[in-house]
Amino acid sequence: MVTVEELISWVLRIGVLSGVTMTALGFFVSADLAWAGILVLILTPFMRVAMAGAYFLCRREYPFFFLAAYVIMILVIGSFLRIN
Amino acid sequence: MAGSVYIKDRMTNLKLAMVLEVFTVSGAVAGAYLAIAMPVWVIQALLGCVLFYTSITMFRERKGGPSASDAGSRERAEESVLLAGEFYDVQSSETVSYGVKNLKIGTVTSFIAGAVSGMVGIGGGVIKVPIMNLVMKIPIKAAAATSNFMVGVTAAASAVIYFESGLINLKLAAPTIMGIMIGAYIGTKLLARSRSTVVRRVLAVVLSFFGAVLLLKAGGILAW
Repeated sequence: MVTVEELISWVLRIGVLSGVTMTALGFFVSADLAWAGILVLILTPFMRVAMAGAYFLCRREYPFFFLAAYVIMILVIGSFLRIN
Repeated sequence: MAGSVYIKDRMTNLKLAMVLEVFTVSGAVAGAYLAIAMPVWVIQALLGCVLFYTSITMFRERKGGPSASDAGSRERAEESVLLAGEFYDVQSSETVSYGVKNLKIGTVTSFIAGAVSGMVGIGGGVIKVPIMNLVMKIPIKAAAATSNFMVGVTAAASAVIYFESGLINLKLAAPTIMGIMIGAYIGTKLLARSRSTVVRRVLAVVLSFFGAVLLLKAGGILAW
């Protein structure tokens, strides 16, 4: 039986490793690939919060689910903000 | 990378991370706006002093973990049972259980930590770990792991804005990422095996270093 901790852990690993590989390869091959890698790295923490939220929802720990939802909401709003 | 190992080992306190993250992320957004209103050197100087003070407090606290020292204060401080956690310490080969204290102070400082990390561009971890350890009385390893989970999220909140605004320097970011990955991997392996006292000492040194860098920047001596 895979625990939720292990599942989140694997999502993080896959996200970070693929992001780093893309950035490293892209540095020599194409800038677009490197940018995609950086985007994957930035989005990985979004995934971890989403998974933690799903975990709390499954366990019916609603207060913590709402906290996770709030964090994701702020992250989404942030992605629409611009500097300059 | 480090985060994935900590979560698997259950060193990360997910519930506590969620509660504090709400305040950190809000702080990070507020920080973006505060940064416009306040001169950066004031923030740097203030934070520099805070880090020095925290560093001294960390050095002075003799015990490896807070558990023994606060037996007397246990009645006074409210303890949040809901957020209590436990993890297996590989180094001392024992299971460490702990409660979370002074949650209110913790949430307020998390907000400030988020704002400051957004404004000054340093990880909020250097503020969050001491707060969790010294104020909320969480064992240093659990504090480090939980902060690790949170820092990634807080950083992502501002990183997205920088990414969208085209402010990320690819030639700088790509090599830096490689270096960070290797360092984080080694650091993660080391944390689990190190004695808590050593971890606290290392943190105290790091805090002094950042404190010095910030004060030098505030004084205009360091330009980066």
